[in-house]
Parts: sequence; C-alpha cells; structure tokens
Amino acid sequence: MHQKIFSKSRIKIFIGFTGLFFLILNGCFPHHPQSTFNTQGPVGLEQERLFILMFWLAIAVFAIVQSVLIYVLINFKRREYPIPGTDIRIPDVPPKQVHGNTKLEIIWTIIPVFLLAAIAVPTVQAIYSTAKPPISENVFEQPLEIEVVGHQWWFEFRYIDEGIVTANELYIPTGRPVNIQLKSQDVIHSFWIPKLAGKVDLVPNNNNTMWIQADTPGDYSGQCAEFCGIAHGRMRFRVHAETPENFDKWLESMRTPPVPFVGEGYGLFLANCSMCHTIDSYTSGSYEREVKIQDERWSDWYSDPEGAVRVSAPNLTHLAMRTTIGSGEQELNRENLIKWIEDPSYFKEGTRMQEVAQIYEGKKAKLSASEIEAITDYLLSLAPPQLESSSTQLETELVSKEWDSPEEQGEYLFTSYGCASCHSIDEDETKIIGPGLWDIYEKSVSKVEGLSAEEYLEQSIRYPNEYIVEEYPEGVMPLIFENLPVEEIESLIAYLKTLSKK
Amino acid sequence: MTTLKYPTFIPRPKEEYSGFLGTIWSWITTVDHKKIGTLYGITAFIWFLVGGIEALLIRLQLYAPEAKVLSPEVYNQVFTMHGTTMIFLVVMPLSAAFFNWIVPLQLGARDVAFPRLNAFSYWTFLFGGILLNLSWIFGEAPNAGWFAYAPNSSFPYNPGYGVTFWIIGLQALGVASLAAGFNFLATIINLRAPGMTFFKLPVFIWMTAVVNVLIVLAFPIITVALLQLMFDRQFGTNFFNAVQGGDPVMWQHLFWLFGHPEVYILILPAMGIVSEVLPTFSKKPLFGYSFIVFSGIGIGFLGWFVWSHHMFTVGLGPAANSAFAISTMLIAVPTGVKIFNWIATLWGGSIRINSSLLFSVGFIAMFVIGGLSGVTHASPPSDAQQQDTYYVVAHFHYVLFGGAILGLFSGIYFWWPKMTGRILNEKLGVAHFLVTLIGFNVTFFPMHWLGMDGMPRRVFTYPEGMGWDLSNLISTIGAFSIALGTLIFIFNVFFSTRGPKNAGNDPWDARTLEWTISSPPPHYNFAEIPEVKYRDDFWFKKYPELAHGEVSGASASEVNNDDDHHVEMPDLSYYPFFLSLSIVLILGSLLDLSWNGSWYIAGVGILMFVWSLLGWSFEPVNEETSNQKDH
Amino acid sequence: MSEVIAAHDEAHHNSTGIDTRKLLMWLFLGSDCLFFGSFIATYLVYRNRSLVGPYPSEILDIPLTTISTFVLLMSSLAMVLALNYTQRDKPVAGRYWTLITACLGAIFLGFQVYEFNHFVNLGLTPKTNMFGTTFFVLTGFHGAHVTFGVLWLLTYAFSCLTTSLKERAILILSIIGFLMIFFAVLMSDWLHVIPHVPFNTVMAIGGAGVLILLISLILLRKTSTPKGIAVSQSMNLELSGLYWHFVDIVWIVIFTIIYLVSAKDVAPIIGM
Repeated sequence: MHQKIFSKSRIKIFIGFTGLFFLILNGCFPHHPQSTFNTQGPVGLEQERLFILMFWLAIAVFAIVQSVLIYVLINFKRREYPIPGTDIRIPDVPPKQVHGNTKLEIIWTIIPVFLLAAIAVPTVQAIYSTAKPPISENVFEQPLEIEVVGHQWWFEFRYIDEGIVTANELYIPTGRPVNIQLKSQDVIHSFWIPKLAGKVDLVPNNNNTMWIQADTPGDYSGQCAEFCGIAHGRMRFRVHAETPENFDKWLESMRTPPVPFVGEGYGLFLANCSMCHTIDSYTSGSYEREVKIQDERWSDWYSDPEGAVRVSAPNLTHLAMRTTIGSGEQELNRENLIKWIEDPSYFKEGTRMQEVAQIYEGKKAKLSASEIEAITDYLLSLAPPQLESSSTQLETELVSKEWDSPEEQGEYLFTSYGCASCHSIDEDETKIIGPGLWDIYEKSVSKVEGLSAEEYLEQSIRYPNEYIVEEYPEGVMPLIFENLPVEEIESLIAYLKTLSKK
Repeated sequence: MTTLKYPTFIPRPKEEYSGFLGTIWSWITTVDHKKIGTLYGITAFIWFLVGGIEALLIRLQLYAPEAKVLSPEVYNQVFTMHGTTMIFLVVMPLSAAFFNWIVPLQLGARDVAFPRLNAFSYWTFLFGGILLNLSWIFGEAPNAGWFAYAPNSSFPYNPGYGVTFWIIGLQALGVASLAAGFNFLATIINLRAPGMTFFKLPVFIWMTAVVNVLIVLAFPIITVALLQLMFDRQFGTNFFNAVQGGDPVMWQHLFWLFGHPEVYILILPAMGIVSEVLPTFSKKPLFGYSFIVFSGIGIGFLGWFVWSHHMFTVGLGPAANSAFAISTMLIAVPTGVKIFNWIATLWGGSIRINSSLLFSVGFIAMFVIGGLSGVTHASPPSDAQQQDTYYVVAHFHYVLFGGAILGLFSGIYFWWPKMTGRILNEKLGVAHFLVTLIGFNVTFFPMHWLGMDGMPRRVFTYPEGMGWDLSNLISTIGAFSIALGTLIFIFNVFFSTRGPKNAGNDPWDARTLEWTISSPPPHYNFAEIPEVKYRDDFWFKKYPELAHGEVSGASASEVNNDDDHHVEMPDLSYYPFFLSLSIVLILGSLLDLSWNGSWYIAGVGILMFVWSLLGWSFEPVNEETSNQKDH
Repeated sequence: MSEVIAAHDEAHHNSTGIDTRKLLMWLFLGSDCLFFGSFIATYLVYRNRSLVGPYPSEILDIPLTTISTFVLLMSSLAMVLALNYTQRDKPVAGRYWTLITACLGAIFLGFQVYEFNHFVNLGLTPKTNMFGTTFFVLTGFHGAHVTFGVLWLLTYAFSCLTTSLKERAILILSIIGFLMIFFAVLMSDWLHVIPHVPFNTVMAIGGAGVLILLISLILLRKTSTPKGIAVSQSMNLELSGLYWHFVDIVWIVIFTIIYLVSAKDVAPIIGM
C-alpha cells in the first residue's frame, strides 16, 4: 500500500504549490494606494515585518499539512469496497487498528507551541514599540500633537499647539513623529492610513492615542474602518506628508486670511452655510471658538435630531487648498463642487448636511443654479494669497463703492451678509431662525442695562452670544462679524433704524 | 394520580390525525426528536438559501466599483441580515438538527431527556427567525451589523424598527438555544446507554456536550447585552449612552464575551461530525480519541479568555492586547492537535473516498487555511492592518463556510441514509463537493488580497483606482459557483428521494449505535436499550477479532429491533408550540410601544403564556402511564 | 421554562442517578449565574460614572433594605421547612410553610415597590444617570425573578398537595386575601405607592383581606390528601426550592454590592 515518497503525484503537488506561491505573491500589490505592503513609516513597517514573518511560517505549515493530507488521500485510498444497497460485499481487509500514539501527540503539541512562541515574542515587542513614539532629546524631533475627531461621516483634524483646525485632509511633516489623540463625538469610527500605520478606533468617552510617522513625502489615502452608518463606505481622508519646510509653509498659509472676495456668493454662503461651516480659522482665538461651537452644533442635533437646524460640519477654511471634497471622496473642482451643493447624495448618500440644512428640500437644494454657482465661486476663492505677498497690506475692495447714504450701504450689507435669511424685517415679525428686526432700534434702547441702542446693536453683531433674546438658542448666529470695520457697523445700524413705523 | 389532573381546554392530541391539516397538526404537536430534527434541518436549510441570496446580493453590489445594485441603506441591511441569518438561523440550527437526530441514537436512548422542551426549542427558533425576517416587510431590516456596535445601534443614530427587530428576534433565538442547551446536556449526562461511560462516548457527542456548555454559559451574556440595548432604545436608559457617561466599549465586551464562545458553538459540531466520518471511511478507530476530546474541551475553555482579540483596535492598551494575543495564540495548539489527529486517523487506513469523506477532508484543508490566517491576526500589531478588512472576511469564511458548512454537508451525506433510508447520489454528491470547494476558494481567496490591499469591510462600494476591481469581480463569480453547487445539492435531494429505500441499517460499515437499528429508525429507536462494552461498540461487535487490546468482556447480546415491546413514548403535546408563540408575541409587542395595538398583542401573549405554561406543567407526559399508575 | 417540566423521565434509563429534572434545574441556575453576573459586572463598571445626581449616598436607605433582606432570608428558612415537612409526608405543614415562603417573598417585593416609587419621587429614574440605569435594571430583574418564584410557589401550593377541590378553593381564597392586604399596604398613606385612595377604602380592603386570610388559614389546618402524595410530589417543591434559594443568594450579592460597597458613592471619580 505504501508508495514511494517521490511519486509522480507528489511532484505534481509540488508544482501546484509553487504556482500558488506566485499567485499569492502577485496578490500583494504594494503600489496600490491602500496596500499594507511597502509601508512608509516606522509603525507600518513594524506591523508589515511581523505579518511577513507570520506569513512565511504559515505558508510552511500550510504546505506541510496540505501535502500530507493529499498524500494520505492518494496513498491510502481504498480500491475495493462493499456496494451499498446490494448484498455484494467485496471482502476487504480492515487496516491495522491504531488508537493513538502518545509520543506523536506530545510532539505535535510541542512543535506548535514553539512556533507560536516564535511569533508571540516579536508580537509583544511590537505591541509596545508601536504604542508610543521613541523619546527624543532633540527639540525638533518632538512629536507633533494632533487631535482627530470622528464625525458621521468625516474627520476633523485639530493641531493642538498650532491652533489650526481643518477637515478631511491632514498635513504632516515627514521624518517627525505625529502623536494623534482620537476622539469621537457620535458613533465609533476607526482611523486608518494603511501605508503609514494600522488602525485605532475613535470611541466616544474613550480617548485613544496612536502615533504615525511618514518617512517619505507623498499623499496617503486613508479610510474609516469601523462600520459607522449609512455613509461608512464614503468616509475617507487624505494624509499629505510634506517636507518640514513645506509643512511650515502650509502652517503659515493656514494662518493667513484669504484674498477678499467680491460677489454675491459670500452673502449666500453666510446666509445658507455658515451656521455649520466655519471659514475663518485664521483669526485669533478661532481654535477655541471652533472647538466650542462644533460641540454646540452637535449637541443641538443630538438633543433633537428631527428638529435640529445645525449639526457639526467640516471646517472650510481655505477649502480651495484641498484636493478632495465629500470627505476624501471626490476630486475638488468646480463641476464636482456644484454637483455636491446641488445634491450631496449624488456623491454620498446620507450626509447630515442634506438631512439638517434648511436649504435642502427633499434631496435638492432650494437655491437657483446661479446661486449655487456663486457659492461655488466663493468657496473656490478660499485660499491664502501667495505667501510672498501676504506681508503686504491687504486692500479692502468691499467698501470701495460709493454710497449715497449710510442707510443704503447698510441695506446692501444686510443682504450681502445674508442677515435676511435668518431675520425678518417685516412688520409682522415672522420668526425665521433669529429674532425679527422690525422696530429693533426702538427695542434696543432698553434691552440691556447700561448699553445704548447703538452699543447694544454693535455688540449683537460682533458678539451675538453676549445677550440672547428669550426663546432663541445660543450660538446659532455665526461669529464671523467680530472684525467688521466700524464704518460697516455704523451703516448697518443706520439701516436698522429705518425699520420702523416712524 | 388524579391529583395531577388539570382541566385542559383542547383535548390531548393523538397520533391518528389524517388529511392535510391532520399532518400539520401532527408536526405541530410532535415531541419525537427525529421529527423535530427534521424540522430543524429543513427550516435551517431554507434560511441557508435566504442567507445565500443575501450573500449573492452583496457580491453583486461589489462586483465592480461604484455599482448601483443596492442603495447603501439596503446594503447595510443585507449584510447585517446575512451575518445574523447564517450564524443564528443556519449554522446553529443545522447543528441542532444533527444534535436532535443523532445524539439520542448514538447514546442508545429513545428520545432526549425533555421531549416537550425540545419541541419548544424548535418552535421558538422558528418563530424567532420569522420575527427577525418580518423586518423586511416593514422595509426596515436591521442595519447595524450582526455585532450591532453601540452607539451606532442606539438612538438617535439608528431610529426605526431595524435594530429593535434584531434585538427581539435574537432574544427569541437565545431562549430557543438555551432551552436546547439544557436539554442536550441533561440528555448526554443522564441518558447514556448502560456501559457507555464518558470515555466511551462518540466524539460527536463530546463536541455536542462542549457546544451546549458554551451555549448555556454564553447566551445569558448576550441576553443581558440585548436587554441593555433594548432598554436604551425603548425606555431611555443610559447603558451605552456616552453623553450620560455610558461606555460603548462595554457593549463590545459583553458582545464578544458571548461572541467568541459563539464561534466555537458554530465550529465544534462540524469537528464532531468529521471525527465520526473519518474513522468510518478509513476503517480505523479515531487516532488519539482522548487528545481530540480534551482539545475540544480545551478549545471550549480557552474560548472564554480570548474575546478581546475582536477588540485589538479599540484601545485597551498594550498590556491587555499582549495578554489576549497570547491567549488567542494558545488556542491554535488544541486546534492543531485535532488536525494532526484527523490526518493520523486517515494515515494507514483503507480510505473510501465518497462525497461525505470529501467534505470532511475539504473541511480539514479549508480549516487549516482559516486557522493560519487567524494566527496572523492574533498578533495585534499585524491585526491593526487587518482588523475590519476583507482579510478578516476571508478568514472567518474559511472557518465558518470552509469549516462549519463543509463539515455539516459531510454530516448530511453521512447520516442521510440513516434519516431517510436512501443514499444520496454519489456522482451528484462529488459534483456538489467539487463545485462548492472551487467556488468557495474563488470567492474567498481573493478577499485575503483585498484586505491586505486596504479594502475595509462593510463598505457598500469602493472607488475606482484602488486596485480592488479584479479581485472583487473574481469573488463575485465564485459566489455564483457556490450557488450552483447548492443547486446541485438540492437537485440531488429530489433526485435521490425518487430512488428506493435500500440503504439498509449500516450502509457505511460504520461504528456507532445509530447504525444498529433500521433506516429510518422506528419511532421508539431502540426496542431494547443496548448495552455498551467498547468505544465504537458496534464496530467491535461486527469485528470481534479487531477488538484486540480493547477492554475485554463478552459482547452484548444481539438486539431484536423488530418487536417494539410496547415501548412507552411520551404523548403528543401542543403546549410547546403555544408557549413559543406566546413568548414571540410578547417580544414582538416590544417593537413599538407607542402603538396601542402592541398592548393587545402583549395581552394575548401573556394570557397564552400563562395558559400554556400551566397546561404544560400539569399535563401528564403519558396519559396511559398515569392511568396505569392509578390502578 | 425549564422549571416547569413535568416528570417524564420514568421511561428512560438514568446514567448518573441524579434526577434529570434536578439536573436541568442546576444547569438553568448555572446559566442564570451568568445572567446576573453580567448585570452585576455592568453595575460595577458603571459605578462612580454618573454625571448628575442623585448619587447612591444621597438616596440609599440601608436600614430599610436591611429589613427587606432579612425578610427574604427568612423566606429561605420557610422554604427549607416546607420541603422538610413535605418530604416527611406532612402536606398541611408543607402547605403552610410554602404559603409563608411566598408571603415573605411578596413582602420583599412590597419593599422593592416602595423603594422604586420613593426613588422616583426623589428624582432618580432609570433615565437620570448611570446609577439609576444600572440600579433599576439589576434590582428590577431580581424582583422579576422573585415575582416568578412567588407565583410558582402559589401555583404549587394550590395544586400539588391536595386532591380535594374544596381545599383548592380555600387556597385560592387565602391567596386573594393575601393580595388584598398587599395592595392595601401599598395604598396606605404610610407608603403612598398607589396614591389618592380614601382611607376608608384602604381599611375596608385591608380588613377584608385579613379576615379572608385568617379564615382560610384556619380551614386549611386539615387535609383529605391521602398518605404518600406529598412525598411523591416533593421533587416539584425541591425544584422551586433550588430556584428560591438561588434567587436569595443573588440578592445577598446584590445587597452587598449596591447597598454596602457603594453606599458612600458620590460624584463621579472619572470625569468625562
């Protein structure tokens, strides 16, 4: 019954397995954007090394077990057997009745133990070495501290020490460890950049940390890896690893105001989008403000998902510097952006924007095509001027127009800043979102003790949360008028004075 | 004992019902373990087809980038229901079908310890499965994944009926599994044939025992987790509400503390089947019986200490991750021991290659691949790249499809003659095996590459340019090959039903007690309870000359199975059916507490519950028996 | 379900000599350990994580719960006596003690209803904070177990130890009498669980309850049950006894963890 070890079938099996190896090797495509092979940082490299060690061990075990199995099947096949259902029984000599062999049992218990020990030791080493970045004395190699906040369905990136907030595209310097604090405001997400490091989850109430480091500059693709709801498959992001010089340039550009924009898009944006999207994270104190307001936006939604008018949303400061929209889904260009504003579900179904924002009725935006184009143009203008010219004084073109009266200028500003979309100016004071403004000047006189009507109105424009009219929620009005020129404030007040019976 | 007489409102069902309705009534009131096993098997196979269609829908949606076969919402529902169905409605009840059919027969018993409880398990399983799938009618099937991680499964992120359906459906299935778990453990402990000590038990019985210990201990945990989630959703408690200080990770701990033993609940029955099939067809005793038994117990035991390997990326810290990595790797040792012993069983045997054996060998081959890929993500740093990717999908399909399902198919081909008296067509069986095995590998092997290529799980589509297109296309083609294989099996079943009942008592020259009686077995199984001398008792009775080295002793006398000696079997009962129905009605009424109709449904359910519980308690097992005792 | 399986293993051979129904009960109790274990683990994990009050130290009344705990422990003693008398073929004493066991269980439940009601009045509901959530659900499920046990004992006492229809009717009367007292106490000004019931109505219900209970208890002092019936039915009582003692032990653990260990818990240690 026992055949030669090197039979023809054995050779065939060997050839088969060699073919399988090549197949497996071809299966790993290190050039693919999210391949976990050919990783580019110390964390990813460590993880890849461990996998490859286990992979070859597994291949060895696989080859041995499967070839023995096939060998057994071929070698010990029974050629004759009784035919069921008939009385014909071909006499068949039962094989030797072996019940077991303790020596063998011990051997094949101990061999796996050793193999596993060979994996367990580097595993534990790697667990600890990938947990925290190596400590360095060098000031310039101190880790960059970043906070990643997961939202349904996009990522917010906060540079804690630099005071910068951005979304969906993370810039990091090469050759320097990046410490990441992982937080989530809603459900569980997972932060994963396959080319740089394995994933760590973002769990509400659990502040996780991870660290990454990119050794070569480049754009790395990342994706949420924990099922988080309807748009989980569309929750992607990019990591731009820049040389330290370029990274510093990026930091500076994020602190520079954009080129002033002329056109109705600005007002439309303020009226329709600014309740959730921040665009001014270059101003001082903006970091703390953004953290606070993002939290309030989310609380608004959480306490009443059906009736909420706002929800946490990506910061759009210097949007035009980014390469993608829809959280890493689509290339950023005018055409895509128009489609996105028109109907976000064209690219991404289930966005909170479509669900919460007042401008969406059903799936479509209630804005006209020209209005959407205007907003798009405005958004695409959101980029810092070339850094060389940033030191020169910025010209303000907005007020260059000649006005006949401050009231006229005020009326123009009132519409172009989008005040009318939240505040009614009719006599019946229909409630839109904010308080109606009919007769506001008369009422302002006695609103706050110690403030004249002018002072009160200026405060309400610049710092709306200082005094909140009863029955209206705090923090709804965008905090973007803090730095309006005095002249504009004056003309706005002049215009508001006209809203009266007198 | 007139004291126990209790007024019942419907007369006690009798055996002699005829006609279509009578047949249905006889199935509803049956307490026969074989009939209940058949019900389990047929129901589970229908769910298998449903789950398979869901799998095909998933593969269709993913066949190419940006495909629009399913919307994201429907895709989420489909993959959630695919997982839930395959685990709770297919593999577990299909295993239960074998427990029901085979355990009493292999033990030499006439039925399980509690026949009515057994019927109750089946009906609760059936109604629970129906309740779960009713969600499709509402258009709101569960959509939070079979793991339903809070808070994605809680308000306000997941309003609607979907997750509630999932909770109440699983509660019903949990009740069914627990009842069956108690029953089979009691059966195995107390109804062994005289002489059948624990170390003479067939390995299938051993694995059944381990599985049911796991069920009895693991299901209360998921029950609690589901109750907490339900209270959060329906009554506004804060168990997983992060805003009030609740911890979403708590859900994961509870879920995986159940979920990992559950994995062994799924795979161990198949391991038991393989341990019966291999010795039979190689005509050798199982190699290293006690090592296989103890490694099965070891797997069941270690299974309690590894749950956090599902949570390596949750951020439990390096110390916890190291501990769970090592405990997880340890599980590979008993698993390896089993594999080596199975191969050693075949070694030197006289192997009869047929479809049952091929499925068992396929089980070993595929399970080795799944086990090895499992080791690669037992290591947290490596797992950080693989967690929640298609690599994991590949891994668990290699153990659950390549393992559990192939093993269960092996059992179907093996025991089909005993259950029906007919042998399944061999050529079609081999075709079924080959198409399934090849289709399976074509489907799931490329998923290893997809995962290592960075494709996450549970995404409803993927963009172009990621390099995932070809592998996904191949995988979809493979999925349809598996469907083809299943069609061959269905055809085989219908084709073989037309053949004569010529299997005889012992078509495979097999080893255990079930093959001593006729096929299909009589209602009472054994006219005389057999006495057991050896492990593989029947084999050594047939070939006493091979019993060299076995415990000596005279062989038991020949059993005469033609005369039923007026064996007293428990009477039929409809109470299990109505008790199950009432439980599912009560659970169903929790779906929407704001709807007034719920209260009526709950009321009807509670009344029916009280009536059937009391009726069951006071109903004598056997009218004749109690009457006789009165005299 | 497992606890209501009627005897039908006579036809079977028994391998270990342990009664199969008792085996099933032990398996069920083992499983139930994990059930309560998971709830208790959840309670411990969420200790000190309430973001708002009331905290345990502000609300738990330890002397009161000590009394109810004592009542429940005494019910275990009554249970032992009930089983003891039944096994010695004394159905009358067995019946009295079974009823006493159920009554003590019901008194415990009354304490729990009062406590729940009191806490809700003080502003602690299952929705309030983590303590409310874990406290109500854990003790609530224990209460559900006790309720089931009381009903089980009452059905048992009412059905198994007698053959006479008359005695069964009197047993039902005694249960009704007891329930009337139970609800009268809940309606009283003293507990105020069921509010706005006139004093006279409360007294009428309570008084009638006392009367009915007393008369039926006196009538129950004799039985026409034949010899041997009680012994043959004692396994039924033993099963409910196992369950009852288990539920008591669980309460001791819950009492220790909630009322003794975490009695001084105040504002959260882990700020979120």
